[in-house]
Amino acid sequence: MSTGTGPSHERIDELIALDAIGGLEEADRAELQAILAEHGDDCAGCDERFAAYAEAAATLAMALEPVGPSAGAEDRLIAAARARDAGPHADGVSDTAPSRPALSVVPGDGGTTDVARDEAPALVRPRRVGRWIAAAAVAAALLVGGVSGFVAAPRPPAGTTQFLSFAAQPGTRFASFPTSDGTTLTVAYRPNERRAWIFGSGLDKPAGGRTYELWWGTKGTPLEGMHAAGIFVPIHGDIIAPVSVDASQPGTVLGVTIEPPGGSPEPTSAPILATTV
Amino acid sequence: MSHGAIVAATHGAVVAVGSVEDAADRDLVRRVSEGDDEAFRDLFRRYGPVAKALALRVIRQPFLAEEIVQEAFLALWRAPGSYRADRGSVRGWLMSTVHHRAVDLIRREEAQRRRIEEMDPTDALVEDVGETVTEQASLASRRAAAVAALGALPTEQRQVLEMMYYQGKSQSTIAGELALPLGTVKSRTLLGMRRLRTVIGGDPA
Repeated sequence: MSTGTGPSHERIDELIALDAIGGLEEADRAELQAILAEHGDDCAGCDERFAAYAEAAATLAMALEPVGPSAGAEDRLIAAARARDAGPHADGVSDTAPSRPALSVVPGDGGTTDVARDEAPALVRPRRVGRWIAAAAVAAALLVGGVSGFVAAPRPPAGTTQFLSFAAQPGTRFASFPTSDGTTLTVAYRPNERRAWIFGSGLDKPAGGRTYELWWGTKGTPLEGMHAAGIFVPIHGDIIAPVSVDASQPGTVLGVTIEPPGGSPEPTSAPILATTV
Repeated sequence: MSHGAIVAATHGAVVAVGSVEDAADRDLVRRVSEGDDEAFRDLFRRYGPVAKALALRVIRQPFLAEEIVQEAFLALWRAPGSYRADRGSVRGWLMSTVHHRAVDLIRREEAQRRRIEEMDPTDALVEDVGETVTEQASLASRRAAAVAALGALPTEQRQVLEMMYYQGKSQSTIAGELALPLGTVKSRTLLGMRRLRTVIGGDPA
């Protein structure tokens, strides 16, 4: 076992310090791995430095004003843990094995649109889709006060992993629907592919087994000409669902309607929300 | 009294409390490894708010920040044995896990620069929708010590540490933005980290 007093600890001290704060360049990381392998997993000198610099880095975290989890976050965490495991696993379980919590509450401040803030969605303006604007206003009114309190309960975590991966990819854009009273609904999309995600919170579940359906169309497309992008139903108010959207054209219109169970091939009701990308 | 003396005095109180805290945290992790979800809740209540503040500070998106925190805690639930007591406190390990995940995410975002420029970091914290947090006295004390420790750093050292840690920027990116040689950024980072290490008590010397 290394005692940690060898000259190579001068260099590893630097590398561990940089690693603790997230400052390693790729070449540095390779060097750190090589030195760690040389020292062995039980090197007391390395352990000592890992501990000391982790604590130093944590100082930066501890200096921040704590931010409380959103309502129900703790229960969702426990539910997610229970849902995926009978209990904790022993050592060796890969950290990359997905065991994700259900979606958290999305803030109502439009924070998720900032990746493409200069492309922030505007209300639909063309004559053909003017009714979408009115419908959106109606929808907002309907949603105000109609949103039941958030119920913390176990929910299926399906999709969260894929969504996070999608959202993190370069080129992802976000188009938020105009909502109010804390309700949020956003489409994450990339202009050159159909795959997209819709996510949000605070939506009421449609009555009678009906479903929300997302539609897309190029600028000026009449309601009946909109393309179905996918259906979604909130679970405890929250939504995360894969959809299919062609947003390759500027001004692509997105709309949401309430449809019969299973969705419809074309809109059967006035849109309740609309936006453009 | 100098600022440094304040730090030292504050630090002295925290160290005494810290050793007890750390032992209690390690016991919570041990209980988590036995499937005790109350212990899991305790850890989340204790460090979830700080973890969220960190994730939010790095990625600026409350929705994703909370997801990252939940993922980090679930990682602990799935593999509590991945925490090694010989490599630091539970607190440091949790913050490191959250930080790595947040930085990994932000570095894959092509719009990082735009996000940071457009959003005041203090706004991000103020506007968050989280519940009111009542800090535990021990954590409040630790936070005060952390703020003092950062405040005691020379400005140029604190600047690079904050850019690296809070904004997830690489050394080369910081060098470019500050128009400094890469070696200068590295030396300032190391000096800052070593100073923090000494003040916080991690320096064996």
